[in-house]
Amino acid sequence: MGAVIRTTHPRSRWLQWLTWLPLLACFSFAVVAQGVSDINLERQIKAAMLYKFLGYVEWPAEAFATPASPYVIAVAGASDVAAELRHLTQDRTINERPIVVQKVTSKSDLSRIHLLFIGDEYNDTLHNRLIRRAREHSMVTVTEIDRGLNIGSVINFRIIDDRIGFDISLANANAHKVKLSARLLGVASYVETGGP
Amino acid sequence: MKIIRYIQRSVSRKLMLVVLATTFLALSAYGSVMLIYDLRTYHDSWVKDLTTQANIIAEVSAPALEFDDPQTARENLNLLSTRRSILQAAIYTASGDVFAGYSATEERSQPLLPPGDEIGYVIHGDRIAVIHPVIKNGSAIGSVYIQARYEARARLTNYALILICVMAASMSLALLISIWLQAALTRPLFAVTNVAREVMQRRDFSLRAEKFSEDEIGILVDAFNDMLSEVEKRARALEDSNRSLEHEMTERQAAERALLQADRRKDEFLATLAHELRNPLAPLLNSLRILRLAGDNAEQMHEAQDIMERQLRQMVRLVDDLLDVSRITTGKLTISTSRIFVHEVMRAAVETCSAFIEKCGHKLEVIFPDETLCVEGDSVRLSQVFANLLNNSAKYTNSGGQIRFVARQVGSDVVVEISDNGIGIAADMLPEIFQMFTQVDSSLERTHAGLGVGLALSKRLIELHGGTLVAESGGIGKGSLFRVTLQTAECPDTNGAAADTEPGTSASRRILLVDDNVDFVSSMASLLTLLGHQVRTVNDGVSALGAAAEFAPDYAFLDIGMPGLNGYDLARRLREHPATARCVLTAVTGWGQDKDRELSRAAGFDYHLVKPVELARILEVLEAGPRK
Repeated sequence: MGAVIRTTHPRSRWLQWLTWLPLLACFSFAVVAQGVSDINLERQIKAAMLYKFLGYVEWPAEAFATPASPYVIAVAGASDVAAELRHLTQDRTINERPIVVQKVTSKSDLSRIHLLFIGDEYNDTLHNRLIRRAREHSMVTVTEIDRGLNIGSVINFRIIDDRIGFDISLANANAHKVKLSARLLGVASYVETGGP
Repeated sequence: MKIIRYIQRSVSRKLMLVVLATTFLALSAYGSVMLIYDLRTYHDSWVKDLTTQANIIAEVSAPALEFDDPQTARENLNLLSTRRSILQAAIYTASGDVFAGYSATEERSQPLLPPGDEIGYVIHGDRIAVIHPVIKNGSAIGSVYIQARYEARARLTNYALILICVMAASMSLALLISIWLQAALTRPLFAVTNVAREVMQRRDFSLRAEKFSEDEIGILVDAFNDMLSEVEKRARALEDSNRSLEHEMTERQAAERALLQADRRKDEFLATLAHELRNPLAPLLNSLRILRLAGDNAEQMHEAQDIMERQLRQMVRLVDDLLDVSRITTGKLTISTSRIFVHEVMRAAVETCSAFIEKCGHKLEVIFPDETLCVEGDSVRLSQVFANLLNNSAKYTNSGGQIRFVARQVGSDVVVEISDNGIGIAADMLPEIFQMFTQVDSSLERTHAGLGVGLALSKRLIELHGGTLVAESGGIGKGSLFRVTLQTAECPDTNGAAADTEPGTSASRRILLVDDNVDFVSSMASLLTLLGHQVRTVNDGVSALGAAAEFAPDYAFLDIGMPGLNGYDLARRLREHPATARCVLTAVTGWGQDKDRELSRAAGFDYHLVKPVELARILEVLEAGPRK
């Protein structure tokens, strides 16, 4: 709409310099901070996404013991993500269910888990094992490796143009007996339907 | 003010105003209400629509916001391009930064609303903006902003345009209706108004207003027409009464004039009468002195007696005329009718007048009808008429004139003409001469006496006979002609009648005369004695009774007004007395009215004579013979 016209008073020019000084200081600090926490940011975003995925997935009724049973997010490896998730989901609910975050290993019991995230520090063998075991349960598996969907993961994180995106495999989701919201598919970078 | 006065002058304009004003107000009110309703509806639906759009965008864009996918968000926003009126749209993050934007045009402007957690809208000029939060898991993760055209003003303009068009059409229609109404309502009114104006201007109440309908105006027209008929009726009645009043006035004026004239004539008549009655007195007195002084000079005595007789006859004639006038004016003039011979009547008239005509030095030529003609009538009265007319001719003809007395039969009528070569009558006087008291020559030095009643009396007498009397004259100095026309009647047997009357005249009768006027009684007794009758005279009623019983008269002539015993009582006594029961009784009185005659007949009288009684009248009674 209308342009804002700033009128500058000649006598207060040196005062303006004075106000600019703390701003400049703040800016330089922020740049430094971003450089340091680049890795952290990526883990934080992924943790937030994991949390948000819960809202777009529908599990079979037998996946929950009671209507008030919590969502259980299991994190294999990636302890920073697990820590971030714990922090994030504290005192929060989705669909009036509380959220429980637990650390798992390749040998852990996966029966009560709704969403399993496997960190990229796990090697292929571990990935395969976990995914193979997870296939017996109704859950969403999330990986962050290039061939995640191929090894049977439902959602796989990818870095595209400095943005964290994700691919979805509907065939894998069907194998896990979970339904993914079309709205989630809408924001997915790539959706593998599993057809020919 | 001019417009108000212009409208107030005419009913049709008022009607037009009513129709137009009603239409205008109704349309304005309806238009305004509809406009407000439409604007509200437009506003509500537009706000709701945009809010719904924003909600959809918010719903759809929630994952994009959650998973930080501006590309998807933009694609979502681009769907709004189907809505032309949406100019700008944007999705903000929870922190208020633009996450995705959309613009229908290249224009980019400042958002009208700040990003927020509440649903809201704002209208600024021709723009409307809505903000809708994007809610995920009960918390706002961003908001959707949509800015669109708000076309209320354009809509308002369109609406006003439509309203104006509709109003113009409606007003035209209303105008047509009002013109039609004018024709239906005001035409009859105008008709009434025009008729009323015409009635006022022409004063013609026979005009009527035409009736067009049976409604209230029709009733008005009927009432108006009824009122006109009523007014017409009254006006006519007023006119009639005026006319009759006028007529009455004219008649009254004429009657007044006639009265004045009659009064004047009467005055003249009185003067003439006094003069005429006074005239004979001087010669009478002179003659009387001659009789006293003459002694035995027979020639002087005879001459004096002739003068006295002439003058007395003149006076008698005057008084007779006077009595006849009184009878005419009271309507008591009557005639006795019998078959009479025209030539006898003429002869009698000539006998009466011949002396006067000779004295005047006129030559009288009498031509009797070729054959014997009779008429139904009173011989005395008819001869009086003819004598009157002859006298008249003699009077108004200069000495040595020629008078013709001619009778002839014309059809079934007898026409008797008396003509002369005298002074004649002016044409304008012809209708006047038969009026009572009229005298053609009213100058003081006129040579002939008269009361001016002769012609009037004659005319009336002829009319009583069922005939006519007309006068003709060529003018002054051309002589005059009087023509009497009478109906002829069959003549009686002349021989029998003549034989019957013969012995009556010669017989000697016993006659009793009763009257307190000694002169009259003694003179009449001398005359009757001279005629060969036995006569006894008495001067009062009481002594008359004794005289009658002793004398046993065949005829008795009784005065009515007598001291002691009046004529009526005397007659009754005489009728009761055997000696006089068969006597012929004749009343002699100054009263000649019908009621007097009736009274005398009731008292037993056979005849009624009115004073002054002439010898001829008494002889007539004697000739009629004894009581049957």
